[in-house]
Amino acid sequence: MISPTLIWVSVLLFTLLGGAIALKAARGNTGTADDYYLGGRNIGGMVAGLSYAATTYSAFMLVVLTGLTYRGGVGALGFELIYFSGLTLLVLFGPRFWLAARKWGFITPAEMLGARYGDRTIARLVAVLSLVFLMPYCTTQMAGIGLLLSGVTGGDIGLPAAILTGAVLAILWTLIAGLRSVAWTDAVQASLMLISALLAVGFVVAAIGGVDSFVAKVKASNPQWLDVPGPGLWSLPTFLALALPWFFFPLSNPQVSQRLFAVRDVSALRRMIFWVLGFGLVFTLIAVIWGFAALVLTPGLENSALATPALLGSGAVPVGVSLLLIIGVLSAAVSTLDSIALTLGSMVARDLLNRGAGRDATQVFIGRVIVVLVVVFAAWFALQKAQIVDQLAALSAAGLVVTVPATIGAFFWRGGTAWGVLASLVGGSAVAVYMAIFAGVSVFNPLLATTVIGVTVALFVGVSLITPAREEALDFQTALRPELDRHRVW
Amino acid sequence: MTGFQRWLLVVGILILSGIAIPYGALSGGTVSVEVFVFWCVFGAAVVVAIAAGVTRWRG
Repeated sequence: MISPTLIWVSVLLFTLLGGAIALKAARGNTGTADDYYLGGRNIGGMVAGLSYAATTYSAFMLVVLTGLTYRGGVGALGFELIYFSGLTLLVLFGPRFWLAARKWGFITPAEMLGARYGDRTIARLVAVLSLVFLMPYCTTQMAGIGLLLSGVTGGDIGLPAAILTGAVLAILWTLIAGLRSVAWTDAVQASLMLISALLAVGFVVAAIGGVDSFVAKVKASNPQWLDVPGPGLWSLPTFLALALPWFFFPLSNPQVSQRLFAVRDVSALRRMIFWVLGFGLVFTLIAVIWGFAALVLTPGLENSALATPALLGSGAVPVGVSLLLIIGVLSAAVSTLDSIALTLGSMVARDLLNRGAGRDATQVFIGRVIVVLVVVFAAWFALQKAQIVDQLAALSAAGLVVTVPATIGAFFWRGGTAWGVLASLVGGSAVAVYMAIFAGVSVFNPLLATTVIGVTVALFVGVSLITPAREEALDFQTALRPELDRHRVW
Repeated sequence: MTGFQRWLLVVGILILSGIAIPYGALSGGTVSVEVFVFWCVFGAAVVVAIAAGVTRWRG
């Protein structure tokens, strides 16, 4: 077990470092909504890439993915890499999102869809869906922090104290300077996550006796874990059920797609993608190797989500490195939490409450209030451990995927109409909620994702074919083609 | 076939192979790290495919 005092001192140092960075970032802000939500659309490739990575790779990695490896073996690596392969979508959509946002001044992805199809109701509906599915996801980040701090201290740091820590950091760094402080602190947090995890994995592999000994021990003790479907968790249907909705994460999750609006230029966008790729691949391998190491060093855990705390408490990792990794996992949770809160703030201000151009101060104020409310909601429900919140959080990927057909259609199908989008959003999300919550279909069952995607696509295409496009709808394909050609984008 | 169509085809095959090969050819054999190594190579191939798509971008 690790002393709570050491953990609190580390958290304090981390808070001071992050606070100093956030305050420095705040100097660049001019008070406009563009500045607060998108960092003045002037974020460089490295900071944008690390921020995107820290937002995408949450506490899920070293808590849930490690646990899935512990429980089911190498299939966890395949699942996460299929999700990783979803980044190929950025080759087509990255420059299109960026150009559209520049040309028409969009701040949120919901606003972009509303303008494309000529109906503000679409923007409002996308904002509501994002709130419904992402706020519970924030709760799981809080729970991750609680699980870790409580686990490594043997319960000396309780859930309320751990959750309060995460909440204070997320609120502080978002309120100070919006995306500028979030992106800068994300970049530092991503570095911390990677360095601490690399060090920790190095120590556990050494403790096991090196790579050869590690492989030999896994082969001897858990041979099934090196194969798929492995000991049972990663059957092909389960693999597909999880991988399919997560593949579309770069398009379906506004907290990451909004990052595409914030980069300085196409060169920065390209650098951003390379940073995400490098970080994602290395961090995925680390999380999976970490799970295998826990299998060797701390076998027999009943709750696989406790693999990371168990490994940190095993004595294989020096206390200093353990503290660094604890801060790394805390970073992963906070960076995801504050990014989601900021994006939801922008969606409520611009899409739900319609505080558009010329009302920058109001937009920023509303965004700040929403950031606090989202984080307080997440903290409260993490403490309550409400079942409905857990169900919605598990459903977040399959729920948000309903925005994907409309997003693809926005750039590649002129025939898409507002009614088609509205039908697909309402129908798809209703099916997702009905199946998962009322009919009890598990997110591990591929029937859920395939039905939701099938219904959403069918409604979008079918209703679009029999309804006229709005006169005020934008034609992205025609309007963006000259710029896409100039930047040599397919 | 245009450059974009070729790229799309390669990416499609790559992603399908990321599921089909481990669950088909590599599944159920003798105990080895083949599946782990395959997915590492798959991840690297995804990076190469994305790099091929974005290196042509200009300014």
